[in-house]
Amino acid sequence: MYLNVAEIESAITSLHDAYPDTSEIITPPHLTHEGRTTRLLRVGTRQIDEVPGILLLGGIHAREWMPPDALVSLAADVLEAHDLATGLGYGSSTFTAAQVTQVVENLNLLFFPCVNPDGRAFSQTTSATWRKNRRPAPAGSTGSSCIGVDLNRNFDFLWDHTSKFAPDADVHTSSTPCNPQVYRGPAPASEPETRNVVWVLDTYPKIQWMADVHSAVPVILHNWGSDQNQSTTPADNFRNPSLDTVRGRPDDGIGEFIPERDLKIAVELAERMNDAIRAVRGVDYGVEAAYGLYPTSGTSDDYAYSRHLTNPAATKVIGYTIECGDSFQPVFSEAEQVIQEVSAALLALALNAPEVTDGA
Amino acid sequence: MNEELDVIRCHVVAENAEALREFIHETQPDVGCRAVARHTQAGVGLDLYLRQEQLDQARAARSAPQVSIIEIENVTENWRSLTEEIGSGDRFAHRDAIPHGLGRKE
Repeated sequence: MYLNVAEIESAITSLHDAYPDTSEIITPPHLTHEGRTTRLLRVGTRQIDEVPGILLLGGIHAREWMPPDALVSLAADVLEAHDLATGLGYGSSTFTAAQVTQVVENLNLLFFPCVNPDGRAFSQTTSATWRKNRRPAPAGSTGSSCIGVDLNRNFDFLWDHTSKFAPDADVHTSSTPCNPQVYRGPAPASEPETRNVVWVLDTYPKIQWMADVHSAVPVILHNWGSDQNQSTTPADNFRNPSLDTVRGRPDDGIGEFIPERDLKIAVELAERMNDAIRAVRGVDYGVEAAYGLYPTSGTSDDYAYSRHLTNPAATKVIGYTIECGDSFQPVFSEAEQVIQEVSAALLALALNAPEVTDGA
Repeated sequence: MNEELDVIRCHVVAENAEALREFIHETQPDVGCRAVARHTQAGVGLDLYLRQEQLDQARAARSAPQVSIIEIENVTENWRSLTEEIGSGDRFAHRDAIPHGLGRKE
C-alpha cells in the first residue's frame, strides 16, 4: 500500500527509534501552508560535517506517489541491512554487505521523502492529478486551479523566465497563478517547501550530490535543463545578461556552459545508476540532459548545481532528476517494482559518487 | 471525493520534435513532470494528460494531422480504484512498528 502523509512522518520516527546510532532526524524550519512540519532522516554513522552527503528528495510533485515510498523503503533497507550486516538485492541488482557498510560509514544519506505533504494529501484524497503545493489562491482569484505553486519551478535559478529566456523559447513554466500545473510562484523560493530544501543545502555544505526523484517517463536527467549543454564557451552561461533574449532556443548554437569534467562526472554516475536499474528487471531508463522538448527554469536540479557558480563559497552539488516508472500512480504491485529500481539507482549513486567525482 | 473531470493519459507521436512542439503549443496539454520526448522508429513521442473535452479539441486541432494520439489510461478512473491502495490510519504509529524496505537482505 502507498504511504499516506502521516505514515511517512511516523516511518521516519520509527526508523530513527529503531536505529538511533545510524540515523538522525532533521527538521527544516518552515511549516507548509497547511501547517505541516516536514522532516529528513539522515542515515550514516559519521557526523554530518565529517563525510560527504547525498540529498535525496521525494514528493515535490503531489501526484507522483512512488518517490516518497521509494525513499522510505530505501532508508529502511539500508538501516536494516547495516544492522544485520547483510547485503541488499533488488531483482538481479545486488549490493554486498561490505558495500552497504561502505555507504553507511563513509557517507551521509539525507532522505527528504515528502517535501510537499499538503499536495500529497490532496492528491490522495481529492484530486488525482494535483501537482502543486497548496498555497492559497491570490486575492480575487477563484477556482481550484488558482491554488498552489509548482515547487519545481520555484527555485532561484533563472526563475523569471519572462526576462531570462527568448520569448519563443516556450519555457515549461508559467507566471499565471491559475495555471493548474506549472505556476512558478510570486517570487523565487516564495514557498516554504522550497525554502526547506534550500535550508538543507545551506546548512549542510558537505552535500555534494542531489537526486530529486519524480515520475514518470522513465529517464535519468542531469544538468542543465535551461538550455542545451555546451562545454566550449564559458561566457555563455545563466549569469550572462546578454543571453537573456536568446536563452533556451533549441539548436541555435548557444547553450548553457558546463565544464567537460562536470559533464563527464554527471553522465558517468547517471549511467551507473541506469546500469543498476536495468539489473532489477531489465528496464532501461536512459540518461539525458534535462533540457528536453522545452527548457525549464526554477528546478531543483539546476538550482542545486548553480549554487557554486552564483556563490563561490557554496559547495558544488551535482544534481539529478530521476523520473521513475511510466505512470504517476500505478497499482501498488507495479509501484513495488519501480521502488526497487529507484532503490538500486540511489544505492549505485551512493557507492560510486565519491570515486567517480574524485577520479574524473 | 474527486472534484475534477476525468483526465486521460495519451501517448502522442509526431514525425519530429518540431511537429510535436507545434501540436503542444496549439493544444496546451499537461505534458507531465518534465517534457521528455522519446525517439523511436515511429517518431518522437511523449505522454500527455488531457481532460476528455481537451482531447476532443486536440484531435480537431490544426496540427493534429501531424501526430498520432493513442489513449493509454483514464488516470482519474484508475485513481478511484487506487484509493484502496493508500494506507488508512497510521501503520507505523506504534513504536514497535518499524518499516521494512523491499530489498532482499542477503
